Amino acid sequence: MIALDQARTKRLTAIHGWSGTILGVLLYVVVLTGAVAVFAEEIGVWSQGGTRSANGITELIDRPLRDIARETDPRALEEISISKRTDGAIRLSLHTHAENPATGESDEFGALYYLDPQTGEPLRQWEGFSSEMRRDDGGRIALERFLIDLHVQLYVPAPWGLILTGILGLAIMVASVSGLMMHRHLIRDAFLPARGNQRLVSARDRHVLASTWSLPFGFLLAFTGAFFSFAISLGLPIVAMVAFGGDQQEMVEQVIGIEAPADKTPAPLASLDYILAESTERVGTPPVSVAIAGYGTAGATVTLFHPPDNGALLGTTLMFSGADRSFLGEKPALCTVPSAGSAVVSLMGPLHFGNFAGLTSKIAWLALGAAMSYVVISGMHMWVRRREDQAVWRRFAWAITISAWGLPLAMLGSAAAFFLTLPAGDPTFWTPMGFLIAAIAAIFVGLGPQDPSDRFRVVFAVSCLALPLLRHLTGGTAWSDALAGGQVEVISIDLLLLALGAVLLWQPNPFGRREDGEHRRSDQRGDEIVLEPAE
Amino acid sequence: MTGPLTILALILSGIGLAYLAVTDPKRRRAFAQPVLERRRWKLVARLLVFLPGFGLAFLGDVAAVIIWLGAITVLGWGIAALSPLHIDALKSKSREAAGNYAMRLAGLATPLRAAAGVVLGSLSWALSKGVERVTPGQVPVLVLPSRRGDSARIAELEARVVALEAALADLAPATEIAVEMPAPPLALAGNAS
Repeated sequence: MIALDQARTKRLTAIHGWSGTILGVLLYVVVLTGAVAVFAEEIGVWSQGGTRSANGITELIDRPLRDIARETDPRALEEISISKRTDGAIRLSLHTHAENPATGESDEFGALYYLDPQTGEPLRQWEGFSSEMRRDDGGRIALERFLIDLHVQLYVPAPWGLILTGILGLAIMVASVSGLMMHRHLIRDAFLPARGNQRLVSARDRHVLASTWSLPFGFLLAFTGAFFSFAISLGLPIVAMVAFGGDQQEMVEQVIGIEAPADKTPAPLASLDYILAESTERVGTPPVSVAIAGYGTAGATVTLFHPPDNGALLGTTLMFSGADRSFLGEKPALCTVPSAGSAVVSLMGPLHFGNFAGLTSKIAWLALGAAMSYVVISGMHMWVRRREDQAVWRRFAWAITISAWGLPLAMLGSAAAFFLTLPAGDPTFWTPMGFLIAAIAAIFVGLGPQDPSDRFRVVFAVSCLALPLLRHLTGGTAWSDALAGGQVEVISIDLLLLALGAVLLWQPNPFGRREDGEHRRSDQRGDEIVLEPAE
Repeated sequence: MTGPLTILALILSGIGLAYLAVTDPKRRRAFAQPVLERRRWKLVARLLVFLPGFGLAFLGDVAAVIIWLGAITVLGWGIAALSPLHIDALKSKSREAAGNYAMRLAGLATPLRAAAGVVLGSLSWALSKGVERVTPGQVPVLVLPSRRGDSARIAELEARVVALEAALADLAPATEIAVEMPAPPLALAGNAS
């Protein structure tokens, strides 16, 4: 693709290989958990059940809001946010901002309510700092939360986890660019599959083919991921320090464009149900969340966030006056007037999360994540195959196999721990512990003189088959109830696990095991391809 | 419409990609397949790959275009990763499965005919006796055909031939390749192609 001399090609190979090898296992964790986290919402519905209604806020919430606001400390009425949980309940948060003595950082302080979507009556309620409320509330969403945390910050405390995943995103970008420069016949080899099963050149073929096709979106996902990681961990704090005297809340409000109400004259909020209905009519879909600033004042504003309409990539945000329910206009993602920067930042989310077109886009993003996981594992596999005459690299090859199978096994373990502890235990604690226990168990499965792949395959297959049963036995939503409640996710994920388990158990290699003697080539030629000088 | 449109576009693009893969000269050389003698419609296939994406863009479905762009890379990888060996194996497996299915159908034929005989026999008996007089207790035990008809035996034999052919096809390519393959210097990135 790009003509390079031999020395440069060697240097690039070293950068590509060593960065991939050193960070490979972590990259694999981030990429595979990211692929799974695309379906975090569906996993939430599958794991916790509940009565899920249609997406978006369609319920009448004006009366419950007024009732609760009447009994709430007026300071907490500064900001109100309303959204829908995966179990169908309406989440109502009324808060102001104050320094949390436990952390020494600015935090949301106020009250949090979960309302029954049918009656509007509070199901649960908390008061205090947001971070503490999240910990109390985390039980039912522990599994989806854990998978997201693992992807976003590898379960490493902030901000180090975010910095680490940001570095991993950069590493993927470096690997993409160096791979592109190293492989000179990218287009010509686009249809060249692996020749044979066991040889080094086959390992190279597999890695090159998968990475060739994954290159554009791999780069895109890595770039957007690194952007989010660094923006949250470094970018925003630095901007806050430089331009806002360290006040991150002030900076967020300025950047997002939430202005404090200018007119603080007391005035009742106009009918929220009317505003919801009008906003829904204007956009065509109900909003997924609502933010009210300055409740009870003449300058109050109501901001409604609508998901992307059919065929669109971005959602729509509309603003209304809270006092007289007049339409104030469409709000860009950043600041108050449209800009190129706002448009670019708006695109980052859908392009990284793949959640802009429901299941279709999520399935595509899952496939992209799976392909990238394969690229990472096949790359590490190729690297150690070239050095398998050294004991240390043979042990590393073992570690790669254990990681490749151990991570999905550990994710199943976290789900099992969640189901076992959801009825009466503490899923927030036990979900990550389940992951840890399953990961340790995976290491033991991987020990032994023989290649552990077959053992892992059987253990993983049995785990896949057992998990839906465990979910059912521990009080999870039954298929009949799921069908009645329109929770397709419950049945789909159960069936997916059962199918995966069955395929792995009864069909270890769908194409049959064939020896690779058909195309005998020197193993060393596989190395030479990469290291050849440019024509 | 995003979902169905994207799937349709992916099917069309997939056909184009499959054609490009099967007729790819480097791939054919690497797997010792004979050089393609007929004309390679490369441009048409490339148009078939890309036009559905442009079509989605023309329809203004941005989400579908992005999904198509992402999915086409995974689909392309999947198609390219299927080597001629995999395709041969799949073909022989599907032939084998078809043979087994045919045999099962042939095996089913006799009981099906017997069941049809029961129904028709009951019907003709009921008609001869008058429908109003038929009660469960009165339905006679019909005599099942004890002699298998010629057509059933022929169907069974045909199914066995199909299965044997599939097994033979499964064995044949491996033998041929093992004997013929080693010689040609393969299409390495550096010097061939």
